Amino acid sequence: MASSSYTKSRIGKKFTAIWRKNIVLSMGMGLVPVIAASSLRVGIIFSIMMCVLTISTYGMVAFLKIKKPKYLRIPIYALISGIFYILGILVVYAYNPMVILEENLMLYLYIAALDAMVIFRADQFARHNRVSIALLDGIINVIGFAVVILLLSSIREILGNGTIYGIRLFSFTIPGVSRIYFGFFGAGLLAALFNAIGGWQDHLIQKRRDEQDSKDLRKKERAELKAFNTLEAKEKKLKEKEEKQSQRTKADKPKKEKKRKKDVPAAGEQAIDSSIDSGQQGVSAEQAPLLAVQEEDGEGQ
Amino acid sequence: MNIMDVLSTFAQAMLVGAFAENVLLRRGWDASNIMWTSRHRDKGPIWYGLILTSITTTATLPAFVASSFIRNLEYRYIIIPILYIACIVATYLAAVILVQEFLPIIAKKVVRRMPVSVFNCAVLSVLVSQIQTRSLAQAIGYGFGVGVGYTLVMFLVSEGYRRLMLCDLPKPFKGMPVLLIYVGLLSLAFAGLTQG
Repeated sequence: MASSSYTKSRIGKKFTAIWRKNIVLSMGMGLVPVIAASSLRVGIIFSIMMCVLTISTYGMVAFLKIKKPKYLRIPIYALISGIFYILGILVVYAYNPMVILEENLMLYLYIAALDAMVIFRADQFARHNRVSIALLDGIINVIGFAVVILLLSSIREILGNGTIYGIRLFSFTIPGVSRIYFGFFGAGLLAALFNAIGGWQDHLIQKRRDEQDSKDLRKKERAELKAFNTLEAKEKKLKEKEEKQSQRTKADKPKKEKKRKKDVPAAGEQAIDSSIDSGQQGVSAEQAPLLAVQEEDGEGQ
Repeated sequence: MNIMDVLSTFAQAMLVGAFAENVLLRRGWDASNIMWTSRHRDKGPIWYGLILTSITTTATLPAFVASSFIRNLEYRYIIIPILYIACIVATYLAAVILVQEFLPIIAKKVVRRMPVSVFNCAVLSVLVSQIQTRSLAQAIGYGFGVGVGYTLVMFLVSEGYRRLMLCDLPKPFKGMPVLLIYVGLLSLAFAGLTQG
């Protein structure tokens, strides 16, 4: 369960890497085909080749998990990539058999086998991870690569030849767009655009986070105010109660005193009278009621 | 063929490799590694250039022999990369053994940098181009020229990048975008120079 949630979060993070940390435009890997592709057809061919090469090499590297020093690991990865190139060229051949006749394009396809995106990314990432995660990384890298190459090659074909996938759109053309230097310019401008989109997205996220924070703060303040108000009200009630009680006790005190004063002199007078009668002297006013009671008891007996 | 002819063929091929068919500015090969080395000046671009030049020069020998066997094969396009990668691997392993054996003082420094310098598109592109060459002097001259041209461009790009980073650039253009545009301008200048 834990691993599945871990993988899910990783997938989510990885997919944002297509435009935020694109392997071509931010890491500079796989630039050779992107710069070379000047038509959509070539872009598709490179995408197919890199898809086969990248995914299969990452999978194999993750499966083998070679624990040798770097200077011995990299040649092995290069040979693995060279072997998977055979599979890649067969898939490309199935898509477009005429490709083998284009020598210039074939040169670029040959050297794709040693692209940094295939070998060094495999060494950086795939070697340390499970096969499934390495394959996922390969798929996401290929998607990022394909997005860039297809976008750039389409723009170059439209501007350079006035066509898209061989279909004529207009007769106006800019011949320099098909050259290598425009590949660099185009990739640079696309990288800047991706950065700007990423920056704008960051700004939006920050704004939303700030809004949420201020909302939470306001909510907290309101809750604190409410709690304070209820506390104040409770204190007020308590005070009122105490005041009422004190008033009641104040009102009760004179009555009690009056009653006491009434009760005490009557009993004291009787006691003094009886003591005079019995010849007892020196009885205090406090002892008098007791004596009176004793005398009453004696008479009764 | 006398020695002067051989030397002139070598020099001609070297100039073609270094300038007229510069791997980065005229062909766009190995743009990834040049971007990486330009942004990591601390990793030693001198070593990088030296190793690359020595490998492009020496690996042409086995590649020239191998290409003579496959030149007329019908399905050569299937085996060309694996064959040339095997040539690179053989040259690389021989170089590693030689350096460890005879230059133990610098062996650690060199061997650590070798994989990035050797296994890249520039080296493979030199060997792949051998299929069109006819003489060994031409092949070795071209390999040497490519290495020299690559090293020069690497210094040019890394210095340009250092200066660009000191400028006040708009945020989206910082880093890779401005470097790519700068290389594009260099490539345009080279195209003008070589009328390409």
